[in-house]
Amino acid sequence: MTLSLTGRVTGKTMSVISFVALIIFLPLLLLAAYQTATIISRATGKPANIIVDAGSITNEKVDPAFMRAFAQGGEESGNWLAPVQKEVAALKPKWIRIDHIYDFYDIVKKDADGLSFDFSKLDPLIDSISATGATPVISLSYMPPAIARENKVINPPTNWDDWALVVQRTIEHISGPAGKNIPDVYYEVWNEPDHEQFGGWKLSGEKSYLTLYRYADQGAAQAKNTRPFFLGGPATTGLYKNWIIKLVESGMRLDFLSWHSYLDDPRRFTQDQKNIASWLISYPEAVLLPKLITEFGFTGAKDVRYGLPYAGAYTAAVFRELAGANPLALFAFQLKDGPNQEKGDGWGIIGKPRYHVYPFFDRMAGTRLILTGEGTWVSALATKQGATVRVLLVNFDANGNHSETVPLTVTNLPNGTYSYRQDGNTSEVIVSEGLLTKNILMSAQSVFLIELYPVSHR
Amino acid sequence: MKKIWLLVVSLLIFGILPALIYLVGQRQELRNKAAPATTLAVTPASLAKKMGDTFTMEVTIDTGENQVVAAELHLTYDPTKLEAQSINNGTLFSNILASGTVEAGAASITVGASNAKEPVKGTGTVAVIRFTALAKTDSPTAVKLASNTFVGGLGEGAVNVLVSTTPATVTITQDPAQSTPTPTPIATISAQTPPPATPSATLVIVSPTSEGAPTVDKPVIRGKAAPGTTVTITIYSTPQTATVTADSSGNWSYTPDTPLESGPHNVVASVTDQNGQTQTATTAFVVASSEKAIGGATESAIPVSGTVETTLLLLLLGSACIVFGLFFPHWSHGTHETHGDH
Repeated sequence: MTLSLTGRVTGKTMSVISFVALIIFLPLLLLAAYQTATIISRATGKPANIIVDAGSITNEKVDPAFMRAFAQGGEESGNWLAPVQKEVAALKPKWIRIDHIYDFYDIVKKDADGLSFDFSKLDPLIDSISATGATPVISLSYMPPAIARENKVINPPTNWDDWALVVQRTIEHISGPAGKNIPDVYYEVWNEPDHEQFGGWKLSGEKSYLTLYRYADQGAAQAKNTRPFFLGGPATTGLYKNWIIKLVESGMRLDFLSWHSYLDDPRRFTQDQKNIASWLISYPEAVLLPKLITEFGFTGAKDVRYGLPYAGAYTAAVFRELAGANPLALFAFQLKDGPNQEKGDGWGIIGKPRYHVYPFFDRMAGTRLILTGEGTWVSALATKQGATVRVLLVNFDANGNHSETVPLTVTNLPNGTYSYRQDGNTSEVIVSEGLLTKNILMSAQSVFLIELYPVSHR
Repeated sequence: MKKIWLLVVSLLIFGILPALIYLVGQRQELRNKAAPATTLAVTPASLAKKMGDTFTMEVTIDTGENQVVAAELHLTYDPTKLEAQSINNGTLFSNILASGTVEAGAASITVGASNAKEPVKGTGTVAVIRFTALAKTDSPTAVKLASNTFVGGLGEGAVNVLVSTTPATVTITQDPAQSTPTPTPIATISAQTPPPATPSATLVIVSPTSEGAPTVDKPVIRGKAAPGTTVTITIYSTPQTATVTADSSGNWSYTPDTPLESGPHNVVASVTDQNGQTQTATTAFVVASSEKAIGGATESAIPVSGTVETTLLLLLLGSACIVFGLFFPHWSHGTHETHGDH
C-alpha cells in the first residue's frame, strides 16, 4: 500500500510542482556536486618535497622592496598615522598611499574670487608619512565638493579646468619647494573609478575616466618648479585590459600603471603579471612602464581572517608568487584599522599576525636559487646572498586548515659545519655529503624562514 | 533551408580563406620591411646527454638593428624525453616581466630591458632553461621556440620584430659509453643484453614514492644506479645511513635494520662519480600508523582537509527527495492530448 497524503493530482499540477522542485533543488545539487569535487581535489592535493640546489645561481635578483608599500583607506580623516607612526616605521615602508585627500581635508574652496587652496589639514599626515621614511603616493581623489557637480564628490566637476587647477596646485604643494618639496611622489588619478561607490566612471561618455585623466594630465603639465614626480592610473578595482590599453593608447602622460588586486588565490597574481606583459608587448613604449598594485588583499570586504595567521600566510604566498617578476610596488591594504572595529574584521595590519611576516621578506633579498617540489598548499622561495642560503616556506590553504610535514633538501652544499636557523632557533649542522635534509612541520597557515650559513668548511 | 545554410557556410569559407591568406601575406611583408630583423636561437644547437642528466640550455638573441625592449618566450619540447625544471632570465635582460613557468612540454618567460631608455641591442642570452633528461631518444628530440614567441622593438609598434628562430636538439642515451654521438662498436652492441626498463646509468629511487600508500615500518627501498657504484642511503627523520652496491643491472635495494616510526620519512640516495660530483635522488613516504600510534593528522604528510557543509547539503537534498516521494508518489504525466490528424 502506498501512502498518499494529497490524493491524486492532475498531470499539469505535477508538471508545475516538478518544475518548481527542479528550480529549487537543481542549484543545490550542483552546489553539492561542486563542493564534493572540491573536497576530492583538495584531498588529493600534492604534498611538497622541497629540493633547493644551492649551487644553481640564476640571473634572477630578488628585491623585496616592492613589498614595503602600504595603503590606507577612508575610514577616518585627520592624521590617522600619528598614533601608530612608530609601528609603521618599524615596517620600513618605502611608500604609503592615501586617498580621499579632497573630501577629507578641506583643501579646495571656491568663492567669488575663484579657487583657493589650504593644505594645512593634509600637511600633518604628509609629514607623518615622511617621518616613517616613506614617500607619499597620492590618489587624487575625490572631486572637491567646491567644484563638483551638485557638490557630490564622485561627480565630474562643473568646470574641467577647475579639476586641472586642483591637480596642479596639489602637485606644486607636495612636490614643490613652496610646499613639502618631496621628490618622486606618485600621483594616481582617482581611486577605483570603475566602482559605483566612487563614481562608476567609464571609458567614454559623460563620466569618462579618460577625460578625468586628461585634465589631471593638463594640471600636471602646468605644475611649475617641482621636484620630479610621476602621474599614472587607472587605479581600477582589478586588472582590466580595456582600461590599461585605453590609457596606453590615449597618448597622455603615463608614468606608471596601477590597479587593485583582491584575489583569493595567490597564483592569480602571477597570471596577472603574465597577462599585462602579454597585452603590453605590442606597445613597446609602454611595456616597461612601472606597475603599482595600489591595494591588495584576499578580499575587498572586511573579514575576520585579516586578523588571523591566514592573512600572514596569504601575504607570504603572494610575495613568493611575485618575487622576481614583481611590480614596482605592492600596497597592502591597510595599515591600521579604522575606528569602531569591534567585530574584529578590520583590514588593518598593525597589531595582527600579518604585521609580523614582513621582516621575513627583507631577509630574502639575494639571487634566486633553483627550487623544485612545491606542493598544492606549500610554496617556497630560495635565495642566496653571500654565503647564506635562505628558504622561505609558506603553507597557505585558502579553503581550510591544511597542515603538512615538508621534507626540505638543500643540495650542492660544500661540506662543513653550518649555522642552521629556523623559527628563531639556531643550531649547528654538519654537511658531509653535500646536502642537508630536514623535515619541517608546518601548521596551518604558517610561514617559515630557514637560514643556512657556513661556519667552517672541511 | 538546409541548402541555404550550406550555401552561406560555403560562401563564408571560400570568402574568408583567401582574405586570411592575403592578410597573412601582408603581415609577412610588413615584417620583412621592418628594420633588419631579430632572431632567437636555442643553444647549444645539439647536445648529447645520458638519462638522468641535468643540464642547461639557453635562448640567445641577435637583435639586429632593432632596439628590443621585451621578449615573450614560449618553448616546447617532448615531455616524455625532457623535463624542464626552471626557466630564468639571461644576462642580457635583467628585468623579468612575467615569471618563468614550466609545465609538461612547455616553458615560458617574459623578459624586458631595464628601461625604455636603455633597450637591448646586440647579442646575448635571453633565458636559461634547466632540463632533466628523462628517457632515451630514438632520434634527437627538439627544443624549439613556439610560434607565439614575440619580441617587441622600440619604434616598431605592434609588429613582432622576430623573424626567425632556430631550435636545438638533444640526444639522450642510456649507456654512458654511448653518450657521444659517434657510432657504437658492433661488438659492444652484439654483447649487450636488452636494456632494462629503468635506467641503469642514473641514480633514481624507484620505490617507495611520495604518491604511494603508507608503507610498513621496514620498507624495501629500491632504486637504480650505474652498475657497481656505491650508493649511500640516508633515511630521515631519525637518520639511518647505509651503503649498498648496485648490481650488474644497476639495481640496488635496502631494507632498514631498525623499524621506522610511523609518520613521514625522507630518503636521500647519493653517489659520487669519478669527478667528485655528487648525484642525489630523494623521495618521501609515510609509514603506516600502528595501533599504538597517537595519530595526529598534523604530523602526517597526507593532506587533511574537509568540510561538513557538503554533508549537510546532501542530507537536505536527500530529505527533499524523500518528502517529495511521500507527498507525490503517484506522479503522472497527465493526459495525452490528441493533436488531431496532420
